[in-house]
Amino acid sequence: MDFSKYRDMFLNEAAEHLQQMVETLVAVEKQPTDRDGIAALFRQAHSIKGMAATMGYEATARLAHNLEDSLDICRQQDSIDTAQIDRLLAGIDLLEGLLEDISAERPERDIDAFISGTLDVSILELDRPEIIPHADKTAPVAEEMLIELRLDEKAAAAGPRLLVLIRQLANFGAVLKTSPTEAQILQGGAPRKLRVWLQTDQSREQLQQQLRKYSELSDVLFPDEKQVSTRQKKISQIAPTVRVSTDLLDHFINLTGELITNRYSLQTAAGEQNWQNLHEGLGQLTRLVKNLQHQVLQVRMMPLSSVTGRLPRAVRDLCRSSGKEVQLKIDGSEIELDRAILEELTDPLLHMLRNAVDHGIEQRGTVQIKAWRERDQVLIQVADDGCGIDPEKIRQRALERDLLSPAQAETIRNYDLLQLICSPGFSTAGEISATSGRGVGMDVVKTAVERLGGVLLIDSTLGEGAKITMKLPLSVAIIRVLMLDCAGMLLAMPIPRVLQTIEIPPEEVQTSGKQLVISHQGELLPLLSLRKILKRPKGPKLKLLPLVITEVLGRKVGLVVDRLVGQREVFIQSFPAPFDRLRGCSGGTILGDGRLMFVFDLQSLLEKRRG
Amino acid sequence: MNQLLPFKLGEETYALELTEIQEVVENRSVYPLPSAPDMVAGAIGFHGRIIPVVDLSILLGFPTGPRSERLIVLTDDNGPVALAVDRLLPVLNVDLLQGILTQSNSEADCIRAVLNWQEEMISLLDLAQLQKTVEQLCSKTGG
Repeated sequence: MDFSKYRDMFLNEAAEHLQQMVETLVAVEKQPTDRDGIAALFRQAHSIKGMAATMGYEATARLAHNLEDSLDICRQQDSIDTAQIDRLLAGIDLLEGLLEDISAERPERDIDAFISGTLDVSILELDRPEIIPHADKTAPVAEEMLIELRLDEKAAAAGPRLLVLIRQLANFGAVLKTSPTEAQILQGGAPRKLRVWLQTDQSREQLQQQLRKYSELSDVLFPDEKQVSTRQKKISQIAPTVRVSTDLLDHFINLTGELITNRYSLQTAAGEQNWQNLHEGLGQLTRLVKNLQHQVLQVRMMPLSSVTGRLPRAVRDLCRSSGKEVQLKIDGSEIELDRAILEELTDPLLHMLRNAVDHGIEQRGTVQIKAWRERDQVLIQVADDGCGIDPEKIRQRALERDLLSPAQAETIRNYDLLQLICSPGFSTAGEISATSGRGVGMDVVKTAVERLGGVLLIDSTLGEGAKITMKLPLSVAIIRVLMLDCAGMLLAMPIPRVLQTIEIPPEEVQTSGKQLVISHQGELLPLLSLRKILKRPKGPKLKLLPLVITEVLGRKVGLVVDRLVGQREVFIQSFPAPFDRLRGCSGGTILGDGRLMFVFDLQSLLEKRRG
Repeated sequence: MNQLLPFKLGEETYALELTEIQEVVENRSVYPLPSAPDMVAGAIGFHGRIIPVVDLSILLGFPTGPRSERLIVLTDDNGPVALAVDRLLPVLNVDLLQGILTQSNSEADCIRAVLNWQEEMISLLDLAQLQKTVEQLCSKTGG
């Protein structure tokens, strides 16, 4: 009855097979006589065909069968050539489209052009246009319908009759939900009215006719309950699934058991007012909760390879379209990150890769993606051995775009200059190419990284290549923050943003023009007042000024606060919509004593004040 | 019969249906947000969740008087959000079908209908409209 469960399983498994096929194809292209690789491809196409056929997805099965046939030819030849790989990749793209159709409950798109070979696969680009699905006449769209059945007053044995009716309706489509549920009916709660949410390709009239046979029914209605049905649909469509190892589940059960025991010993200790036992119990609770937090995070963790897996294919396509020879090396793809972070990384990584191939590497070279952990942060670096970023070009462009005043342009250090490529609308590419250089590149990357509470660092030596590094927290929900006080508010800043905290006597503050600055480790840092940025009144004079050294728009600044409170690991909740759109502050945490603390983002606060 | 919770905003009496309300909370500290439009008074901790507080007087353009210590937390499908109002009045039992004076269609005022209750005009708050207004204000200062 629960067809959607099997559909989701099919979609997940098929998507995994397709992803593996892409990876194998790109690898096999370098070794066209790799028998094992070709055999693996054949097996995967075969599995997809089998699964799709079992599920009744005709076009998907037919296409997979077609790919299997081509792979069988390769298997007999013991080799595969570039044209065959092109065609197979195009076929996999089309299969991915079909999976999308199935997931969106649309009819499967047309595949005849591909199978008959009239579809020119060589023109397929990296940014594939969506193929518009054709409405297939033979398979009418299954729609969700709400049916209300009313039993005749005189009908006996209402419960069994309702159950029979549900079975009958299942013949016309998929029963999504009933009210009351079958279990409720079985327990004896049988009313005279039954609501059934049915996914069916039959019309109301057809159903009405079918149901007229049942004399115990006094009425068949089709109430319009748009709201309910769309909400219902949402639930059945979203909610992606994760695979959890049974070991981990056992861990959870054991932990739950321990927590229950702990609860009783705490209760007893509290009843007896036995402080010693209460204290020990709390210590145990701390350990258990920490363990639970660790395990739950584990469920959310996924290896970086789940996003880097697509990159070799992207590089291959880029090389084919640009005529360059680029080797991609990926190190540390086994490093695990929170799935929410990984999802946000897909686009930025692709962007950085395109930049490296498009602007960095001139004819042939290597792009290296490296990931490693440093304490509770993950660093991901995209490095190329191309021509590097020319600081002079950036200086010029920054002057043209009014990002720097002429005086600033002269004094700015090269490192700070490099960070300017992340400014919105900045692009040094002479011409606009199809894949990047539209000036929406690096600012997108930077925004994505900062939204996750991370930092983006750019480094380049002219003639030796460029290195772009993302410093990210392991998990988005639980992060380490610096707590600080400002105008009676308790605020938090993610630790990756904090370069240093210091306290300085007010006499060390100098002026440079209109700007207050301090000299710190041989650098002049402008001072910003958090009170002023938040439009709060001036605070009392302090003997020592607490400062947070941080980076804004690629520049180091000193942020003056009222008091530095300390560091802590906190669970961040984002505000409910629409308050999550407020700029400068998108979430907070409830502290142990019930106080609320909000996480603020200095950069967007400043941008907001300017804009 | 419908149960209404009437409250004061300036000199006007407004009301919400009890079915739209999750809870009325008292003496809860409202923590101001570091950066938000004026109508967001801050946020409260509510059963382990952070719930933003909207100051209705500011949102609807009334002079701000002494704010009540009580906040109306709306149900989740209307928020979740808490409304700060000037003063709460006792719950009324009203037959809305009988008592409705005028249906309001005006976009700006967030009023669904006005009813005449013992010579007093009570405006029923239009939560869908209110949600839209709040959404606009949040995106404007955001976006």
